[in-house]
Amino acid sequence: MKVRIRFTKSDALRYVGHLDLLRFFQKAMRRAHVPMAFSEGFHPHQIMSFASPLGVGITSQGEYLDIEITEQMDPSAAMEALNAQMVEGVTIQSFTYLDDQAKNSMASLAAADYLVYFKRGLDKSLDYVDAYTQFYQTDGAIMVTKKTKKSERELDIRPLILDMKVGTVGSMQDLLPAEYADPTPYLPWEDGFCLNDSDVMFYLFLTSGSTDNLKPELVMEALHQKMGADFDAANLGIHRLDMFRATEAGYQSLSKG
Amino acid sequence: MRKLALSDEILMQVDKAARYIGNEFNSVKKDPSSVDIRFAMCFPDVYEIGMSHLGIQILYELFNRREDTYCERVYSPWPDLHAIMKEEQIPLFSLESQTPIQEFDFLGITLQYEMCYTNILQVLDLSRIPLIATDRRESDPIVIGGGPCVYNPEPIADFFDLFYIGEGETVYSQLLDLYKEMKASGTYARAAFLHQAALIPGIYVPSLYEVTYQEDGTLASFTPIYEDVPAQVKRQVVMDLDHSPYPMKPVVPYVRATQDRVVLEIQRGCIRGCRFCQAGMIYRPNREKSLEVLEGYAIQMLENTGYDEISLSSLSSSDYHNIQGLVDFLIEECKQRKINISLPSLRIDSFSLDVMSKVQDVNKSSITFAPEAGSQRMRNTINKGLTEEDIMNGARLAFEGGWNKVKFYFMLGLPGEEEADMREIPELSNRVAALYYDTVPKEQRHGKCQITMSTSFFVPKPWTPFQWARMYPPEEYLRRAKIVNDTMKEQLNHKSLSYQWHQADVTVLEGIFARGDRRIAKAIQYAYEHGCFFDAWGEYFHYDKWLEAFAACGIDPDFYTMRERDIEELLPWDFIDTGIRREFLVHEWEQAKAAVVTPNCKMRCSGCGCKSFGGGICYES
Repeated sequence: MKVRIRFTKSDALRYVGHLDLLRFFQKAMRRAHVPMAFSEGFHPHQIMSFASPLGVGITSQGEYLDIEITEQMDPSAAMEALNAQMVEGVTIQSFTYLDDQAKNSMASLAAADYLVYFKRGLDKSLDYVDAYTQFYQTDGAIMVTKKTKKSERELDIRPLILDMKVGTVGSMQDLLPAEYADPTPYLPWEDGFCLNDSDVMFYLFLTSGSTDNLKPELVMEALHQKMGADFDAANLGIHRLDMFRATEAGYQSLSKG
Repeated sequence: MRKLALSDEILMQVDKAARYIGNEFNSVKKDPSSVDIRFAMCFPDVYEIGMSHLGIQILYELFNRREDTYCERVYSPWPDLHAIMKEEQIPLFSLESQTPIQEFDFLGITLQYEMCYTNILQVLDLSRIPLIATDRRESDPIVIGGGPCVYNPEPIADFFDLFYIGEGETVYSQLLDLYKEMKASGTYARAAFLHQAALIPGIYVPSLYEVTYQEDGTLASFTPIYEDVPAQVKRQVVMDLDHSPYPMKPVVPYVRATQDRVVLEIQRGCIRGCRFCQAGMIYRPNREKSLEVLEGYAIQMLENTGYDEISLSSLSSSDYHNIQGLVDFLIEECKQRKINISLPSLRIDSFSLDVMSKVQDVNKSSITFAPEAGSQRMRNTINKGLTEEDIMNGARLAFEGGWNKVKFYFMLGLPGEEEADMREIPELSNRVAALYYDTVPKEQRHGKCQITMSTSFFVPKPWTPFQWARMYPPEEYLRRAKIVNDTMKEQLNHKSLSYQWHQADVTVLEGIFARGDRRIAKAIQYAYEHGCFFDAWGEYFHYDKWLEAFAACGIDPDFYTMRERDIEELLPWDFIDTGIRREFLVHEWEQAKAAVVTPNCKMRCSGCGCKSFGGGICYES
């Protein structure tokens, strides 16, 4: 039986890298007595995959993990058992059965959305609202240099930006699609960041996954390039909101199977 | 949300930030303001090494069982973070509550190997605790040392307020109670507490002992400065392991630790009596846990951690009275749970090979032998009760069982070693390779066999029969390694052999620390202040800086390494009463020189003296 688990990652846990998080979940499954299915071979391992690794330092309220289990579990009992094995910074939000034919979240991932902000304040002289208008609300191509391990290539990222909005930290909820949970509990406010209500905040809805993977950092870098302003990637705060697959009816949250 | 000691900006810069955030599963959470005693437990090396250490987990459990005590962990920040903490003046902090170490009542530092000595100073320095114990203020934590290096604590005596000599399960509660009482009654003052602590058996307060030296540099006297402070500090030993605290809920790190598995300690001590082995001496008498207790522990710990692997911990697992029953239980239990089993320190025989074929992939794994010496004469000298016949039989069984990789561990520079003994290392390996080609028919071979020889250079340790032995200069160790390497190339099966050897200069430094006296501390401090730390890590070890440190402090390193000590000499560690009789060590030293084997404790009691603890295989029979 295939199961999709949605979880959050925040607080100090955001410094735990992807492979360490994977090992954390493998142990949590054993502790919670989730009847995991195992791969074949001399060193069998739990059948488990993540939709998309989350970079170190990034928070999220919409991460996905697919597992296979050998015996049916009541979803709410399973969630309760798993949450008892979590630590501060990871919470299981749902435990949903998938069709046997369903593609796993990694394979079906097509888009993700984010909140982006500046951790340690921003250059007040920059007019981000104006820059955003010139950057996004025009028809022109947005050419960037995408570096891969092997080569560099010029790429128009405009078609990969499914939506982009600009607003402020204080009115963050206005940036989000209607049914979204409040991101406030997952954002690292207390880490000495100087975030003011009037500081600029972006909403980005970007294609993601194995083919057209666009990272928020690259969009923000391109925005700064357009403004002719310096870009400090280390100052960028990123919060992932949700992940999506492409359906005939448009993008649908991975939480909906 | 927990406030972290390091800012996001720093955590995003350093390698493996998860080392510094705490909050691991099973880490203990208490309200620091609700306890009387705050204890910071430190392993002075990087997180992944420190988290792999069982002793700290035992003490963490033991201390946190007390409602009045909160024990937290601290490790050495890696050099990248170290530089930032120095630059930005960030004090070292505990992982659990992220509190500066300076605010704790105690800082306990476990001393597992000599090469961590500069890291002790790193921890003190970053914690802003004066390096020298006598410079500390009333408000500074009491700095305690424990672990195997305390069986000669003298080279680092200046840095510690007290040492705990023996096994942690025994008198720590007395020490903590004393502290709490003195604090509550208002009688606490640093000096008064240390004086009272020195009266607890097993507690050694170095500042309360005066050392004088002869003209030739050897010790003249070692005497307590107060009449009520004991001249001899008695090693503390726990006799009932079945009922002593064990960490059923060990902390599970995020970062992959070196020991990333459940560790089941099956016994302490060893019956073998190898003459080079300090652990085999200082953990006497040999004490076992019962099979039922171990079965219960194994299941509970797997349940509480979610680890997918379990390993046994002991000096010689094959000597456990019911190793068959234990292994059968583990295989059955782990098969159901899909848990891997790792079995270190098993003697290679038909039983262990059968077990290993059940739990390992034969084609990928290798068989390990630790003959420690190549020639039978040297094996007799070191009292390694292993004959060439044992090795050949084990190897034959392994080859028949499908293995074709063999690892050999040897030592070079053992007392009495001659060139023929060095040459025997590759010659023995060659005979084992030849045995493979004789044993396994061509059509059944998976390629050629691979015999890996690895040599370390021998370091004489206190409390062993070799404590009087001399060492050699680095060039001499390398000359011996070259003899092994050259002889290997002459062998018929040299294409099946490979050889690796250790750094020779680290060995010499380890030798100085192992048997040094109080005067060494100056050089350790000088070396740290001139940039030495993480000496156990090859990339951070600078022998030239150490030579400079000894020269600057007027210390002749050869005094500690290059002379054979007289058996009448007063040794820096003689103030400890380990329970091991001097006469026994002297006799064993003589037997070693005559290359005569002493039977193991199961066969016959050799009168080491540890029977007096009221336990062990000799006591029971």
